[in-house]
Amino acid sequence: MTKKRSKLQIIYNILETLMQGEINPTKLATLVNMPYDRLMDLLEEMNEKGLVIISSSGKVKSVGITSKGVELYEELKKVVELLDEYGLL
Amino acid sequence: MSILLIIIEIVGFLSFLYIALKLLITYRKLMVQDLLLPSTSFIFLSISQLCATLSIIYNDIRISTSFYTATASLAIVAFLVMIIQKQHSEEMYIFTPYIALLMIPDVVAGILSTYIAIQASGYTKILLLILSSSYYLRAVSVVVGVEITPLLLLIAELVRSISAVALAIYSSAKVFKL
Repeated sequence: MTKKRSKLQIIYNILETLMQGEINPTKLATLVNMPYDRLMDLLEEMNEKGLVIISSSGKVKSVGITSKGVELYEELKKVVELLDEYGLL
Repeated sequence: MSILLIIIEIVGFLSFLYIALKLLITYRKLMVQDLLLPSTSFIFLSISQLCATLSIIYNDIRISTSFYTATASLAIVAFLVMIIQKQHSEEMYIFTPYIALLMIPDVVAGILSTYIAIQASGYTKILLLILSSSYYLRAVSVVVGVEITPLLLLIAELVRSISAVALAIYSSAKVFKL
């Protein structure tokens, strides 16, 4: 049985994907393997914390990472690696 | 010798405390519950190291023994919190009282740290296995003959302090930011 991903892992996966550059939310949902609605809720939450920026021109939406998000990604990378090594994720 | 041991224990205390604070800072930024329990585990590991330090510093045999016992007891809490974090299910809370019934500190610290070690990876696994072996050695040392007890306790304490500090330094190096 595959263990359910923690919220921490999901946030890390999102930030990791966004490190590659701006992306459409639908494509992001596919890449991080989660439903679009849940992803949008999480992105709104991350947007409020200043980690990502959601922009839209017309009907086209895109998500990018902020400098605060990049900083947190660097920290999370180490934290996730540590917790993973302890088997805590 | 005891000065060196005190320095080693303090390094372990500070390293585990650094990891706990790092996790708490990340928790404050993200407010994700997944970071709270691991942070608590590392806080207990650091207090365990502090008790080990104080057990060496205090000359009074009763105070020193209390701190010595607290070292394993606090390690139990730390590993128990890690297991709760890993399982994250109701069954774990059902089994917790039974685990508490087995509270012979060194044995329980050994069992719990072995359980964590089995599921860990890399150097963490090796260091956790060495650390857990020291708890078993401490438990064995109190049931063998009086003449062997001091020697076994010394070996166990040496293995425990070195492995705990190595684990603390290795883990804190992973999250250390210059």
